[in-house]
Amino acid sequence: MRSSRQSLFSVSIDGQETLASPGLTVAAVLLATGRRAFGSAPGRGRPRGVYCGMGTCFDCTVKINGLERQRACVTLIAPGMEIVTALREQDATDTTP
Amino acid sequence: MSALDRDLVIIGGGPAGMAAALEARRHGVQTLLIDERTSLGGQIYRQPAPGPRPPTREARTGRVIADEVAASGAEIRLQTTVWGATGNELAVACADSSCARIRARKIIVAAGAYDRPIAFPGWTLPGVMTAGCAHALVTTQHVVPGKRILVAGSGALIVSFAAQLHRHGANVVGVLEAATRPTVAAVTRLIAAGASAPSVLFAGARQFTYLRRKRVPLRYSHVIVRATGDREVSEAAIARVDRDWQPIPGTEETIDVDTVCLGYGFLSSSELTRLMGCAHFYDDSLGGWIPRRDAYMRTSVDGVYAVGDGAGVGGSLLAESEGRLAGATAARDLGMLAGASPTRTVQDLTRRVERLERLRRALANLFPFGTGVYQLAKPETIVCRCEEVTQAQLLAAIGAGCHTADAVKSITRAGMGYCQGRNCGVHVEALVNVPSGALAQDRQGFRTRAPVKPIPISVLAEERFQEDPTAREWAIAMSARQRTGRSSEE
Repeated sequence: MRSSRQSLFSVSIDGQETLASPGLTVAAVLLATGRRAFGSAPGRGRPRGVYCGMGTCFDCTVKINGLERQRACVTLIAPGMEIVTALREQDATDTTP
Repeated sequence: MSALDRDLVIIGGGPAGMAAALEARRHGVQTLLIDERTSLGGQIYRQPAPGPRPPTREARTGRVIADEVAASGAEIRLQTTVWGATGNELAVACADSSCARIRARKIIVAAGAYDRPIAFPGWTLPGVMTAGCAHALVTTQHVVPGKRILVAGSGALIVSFAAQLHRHGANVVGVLEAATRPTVAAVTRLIAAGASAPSVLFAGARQFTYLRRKRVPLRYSHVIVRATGDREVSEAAIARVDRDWQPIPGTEETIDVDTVCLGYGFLSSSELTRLMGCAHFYDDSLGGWIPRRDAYMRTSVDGVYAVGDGAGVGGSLLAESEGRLAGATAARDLGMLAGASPTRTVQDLTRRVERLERLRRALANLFPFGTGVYQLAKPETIVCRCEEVTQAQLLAAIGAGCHTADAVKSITRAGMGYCQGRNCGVHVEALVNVPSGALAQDRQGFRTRAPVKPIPISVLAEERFQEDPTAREWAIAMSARQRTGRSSEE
């Protein structure tokens, strides 16, 4: 997230406006904002974080621009991106692991 | 959907695939190189985001080679996934969700590898990740994944990764090496074998020294047996293990951590060669299911070659040499091998591969793999991460009479999820094959099926409804291959 200021752009994470810099993955941006359990298990939806970091496991998937189950670890962040993590849904429904 | 015809298609743009493309182009072979990612280079040559630090040596090397490939006249298709394959035809899905079928006279599979999954209680908790993941986060994404990091696994690479994490400001609370401290004999053999690539040894020794100087504890014969925490990992239980990596009762202790990085080596991504019906054998130290090859990188299926970590994990130097050899072999098999003494070319490349293969074996012998680490799961441990299938459910299915990995899969759904069994496969196979005393050559894995990677349903729809008389024949040919393609001895 440390980069020259002029290249920063704005994205939305669970409705919050956040600044991000180009070239980073969505996962890196989420981690840099202190979010770790942002994914959910494909089965019963228990909290997951980044596990494989190379697009194999699908643990880190989030909703990006309305598309479900996008892999945060291999998707590059882009200006105006709208990201919805599992953290928001967990808070809403309180799915205890 | 469109159909393409190509002389040579190379799957995977890492060190092996790029070297194969360069060599094939040297002989004038029409070459198509396919990769899933947004840039060439594979995992080792990942390109960093703009950030405070200069790119790593790997990233710089990768950029140079990728530029050479681009200038070689090879056709490059990025963000393209091969999800189905026969011996001479590939089904690919592109980034825009369109699909295509590609007919190829020769196919070089250079699919790479992924971290060997080891299931233990708590391995699905956020904060537990592969060492490769943590390494990529610090070196290419400028993010340190935690404040108290434990690195656990085996092999020279975890020491190197731990040192790099530390250099990037991470607090590495310890490194656990499951194998015993290397013997003098093993180190001597490594130094002898390393004469062909001394830089590898020097780089490794430098990382060991660095960790010692920074007082990062490195403990041999130790594994992580449990990760616990509420929503995220907050504590790791570690234990001493025997030579087979079985935990020794009464040696357990706990460490406060917020991140666990796992690096138990790699498994070959051999899904495509298995799908194509190539003969395979199983070897834990090589990376699981490995395609059988001749000295020139040909698999048992005519016109299909396999190279790099996807055909036995050996690192980037070996991968590059294998790639060049396969590129030359494919050119020869197409009758296009160019140069003053073409036979010499192939012979030289073969000898280089043999030398580096000796180095790979010596390195593997330094930290021999122990299968005890496949038995860390408890009944309530989730083994299949995607479908959340527990060890107890797997054992119940086996107890109820499922004697093959595929039968367990049908009953429990283990291996049916997004990752297509890449993470639970070795565990299900170990449970099914070990109790009956099956020997390695009788081992049976999940049958590989298309699609080998998740693809949007729109891709399948386009494939299905295309007005193409060969589509049906193609589907039949592929399912026939799958029926006969059970990985086995020839």
